[in-house]
Amino acid sequence: MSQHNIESHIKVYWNVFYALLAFTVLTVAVSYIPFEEYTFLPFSPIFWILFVGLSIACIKGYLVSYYFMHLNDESNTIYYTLLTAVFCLFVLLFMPLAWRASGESHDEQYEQYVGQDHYVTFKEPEHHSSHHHDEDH
Amino acid sequence: MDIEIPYNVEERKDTGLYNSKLGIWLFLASEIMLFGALFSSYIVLRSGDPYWMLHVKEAHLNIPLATINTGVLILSSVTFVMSWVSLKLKDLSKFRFYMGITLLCSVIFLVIKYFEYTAKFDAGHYPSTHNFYAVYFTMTGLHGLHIIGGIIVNAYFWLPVGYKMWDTEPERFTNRIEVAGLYWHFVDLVWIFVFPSLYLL
Repeated sequence: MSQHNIESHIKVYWNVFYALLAFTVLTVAVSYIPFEEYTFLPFSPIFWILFVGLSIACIKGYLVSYYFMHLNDESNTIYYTLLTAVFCLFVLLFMPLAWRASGESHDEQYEQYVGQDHYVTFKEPEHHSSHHHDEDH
Repeated sequence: MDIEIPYNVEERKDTGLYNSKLGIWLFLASEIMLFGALFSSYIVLRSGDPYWMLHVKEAHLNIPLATINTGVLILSSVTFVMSWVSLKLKDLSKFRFYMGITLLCSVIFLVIKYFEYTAKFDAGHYPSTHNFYAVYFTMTGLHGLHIIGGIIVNAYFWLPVGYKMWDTEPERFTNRIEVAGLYWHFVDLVWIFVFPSLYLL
């Protein structure tokens, strides 16, 4: 790197820092948006909360990895290593989601479970134990 | 007998990298999987519990403190880059200045974390209280351990015992700082995802 080159890099680093701070404030601010009141939006409110929050996190992640970790100018060996890791990460993250979408979702089983009486005893352990106590005698 | 370790400074032809840079990236790839497994468990536990959000609200997570911590970590990341740039500009005292700020920020991060943890314990919230706390303490705890590891290595480079290499092999020392920096930025990157997913979403 030449002297001039380094000076322009320094400017970029500090600008990235300010951008990261701004996105941090933004991500806290958007967490107060009452998406559940915006009934005109498609999809569920939780979808929008996750979508907006994770999008900002991804932008911040991109800024850190691209500028601070110099992924803007790196050898192919590193790109292939990272690509493998990120592919495996997505498999790992989407496994539970694919499981939920497969019909035999444990959410549905859970809802059935919640609807039954023994969930009440699960929520109130004192009642549950005294019930057993009576049975013993 | 002195054996020279190859490719500390010059790039290998096949990888296009000096060796420790490839090493740290392979390590970071494994770290992606480590934290990825925790995020995956978080998704499973959260989506399987209809009362999850009630426990999150009950936890009264300190969002202002966590936001300050995010800023502190971002500042430590940019000062780390600046310390590496200072070495590229052949200015050791500036390197020590910026590395000192990085160290200070990392200690501030841990102090704030300590206050957060003690507030949770005082309220009687332990990892065994509910799955949310198990996830919260595991993810922030593992991240905290990474911060401690970073502090140890960065303090070594900040002290004379570490930077004495600058006098004999300046390029090799600069590469060491770059590699330590890659690790530090990764720890920052993990926090960028941990912070919203635990505190805000």
